[in-house]
Amino acid sequence: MKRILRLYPAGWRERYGQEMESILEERAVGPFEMVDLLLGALDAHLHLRGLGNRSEHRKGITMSLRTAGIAAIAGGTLWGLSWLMMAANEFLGGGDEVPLAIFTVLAASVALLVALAGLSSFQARKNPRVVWASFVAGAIGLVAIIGAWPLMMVTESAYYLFIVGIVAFPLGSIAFGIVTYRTNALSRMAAAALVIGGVVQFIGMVVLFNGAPVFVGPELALMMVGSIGFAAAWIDLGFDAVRRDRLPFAGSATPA
Amino acid sequence: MKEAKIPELGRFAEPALLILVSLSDGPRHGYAMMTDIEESTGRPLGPGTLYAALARLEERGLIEPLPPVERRRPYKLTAVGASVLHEQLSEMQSLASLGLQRLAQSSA
Repeated sequence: MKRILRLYPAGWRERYGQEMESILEERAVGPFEMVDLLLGALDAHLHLRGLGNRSEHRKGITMSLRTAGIAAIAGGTLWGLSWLMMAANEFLGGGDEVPLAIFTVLAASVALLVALAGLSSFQARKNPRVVWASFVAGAIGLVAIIGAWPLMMVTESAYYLFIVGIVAFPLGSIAFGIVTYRTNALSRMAAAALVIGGVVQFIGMVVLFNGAPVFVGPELALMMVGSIGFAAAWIDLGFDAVRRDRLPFAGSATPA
Repeated sequence: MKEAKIPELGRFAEPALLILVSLSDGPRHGYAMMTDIEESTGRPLGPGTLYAALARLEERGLIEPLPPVERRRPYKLTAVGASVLHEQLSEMQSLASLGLQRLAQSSA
């Protein structure tokens, strides 16, 4: 992870490089720190006009709980909407809404990946491997969906790539929910709901992709309960994060 | 020299304020600042954001670096930095007092 410092300008590295390296050696680096360093490198290139000179650009880019919280709210909402669209399309008949539903789940995946990165700082210090695994699962899901979308117009087998995409995220979220619950970094209730929603949704997907008439009766209920629960959990985590990202004078303890 | 205002630091205004508060009781190096800020606020602070804010504060003369100790360089608040911090916190305190006073009056 220290190699990421090579993205910073040479003058910056000369001035702050050793200090930043020593921090990276002392602290487990998770997706939050990776994104923070990438944004920091971008900021250093765009805004720093040379050490000792007054920077003309005052605004910068930061990764914060607020940013991640907003991404979680948006991503959860879009995820829930996408499954409602797919269910409505299947239940009511028709095919025009499917591309829109796929686009919506793609947008949701992007937002939830940002959320997962931004909400994982404290969790990564105690469980770096699990946090990275959940992030990688989400990233694989996103890449699979992006790859599957145009291919589905050419070959039906791309449908399986899409399945990988939409299954990967709930799996990654289950792992993320478990470490979040254990570290008490965010709302434990929301973290538990994320795990339960992810599991139910995953089971629903297994039923769906094994050819069961999912959009009838209990299979539909299972799928929708899981999807809505999963989406609601992410939204809840998002609101919790935004609430925590407030002026420090209200006071709050560091997670265990 | 015109005193720098923390709000002029845009998105880095809040990390900058937290850094100044962290340094208000003595010099600290980067890792110690991160730990201190996270313990007092409950919010994570990444090294990228920390050093972007430190660079801006140093440019504006609000903090100054001290000689490094084993790759860790402590920073300390300058006189200008202490003055800016005092002004900023006083404004916040005045606003908080005004708000609390009005709340008390409206509920009386």
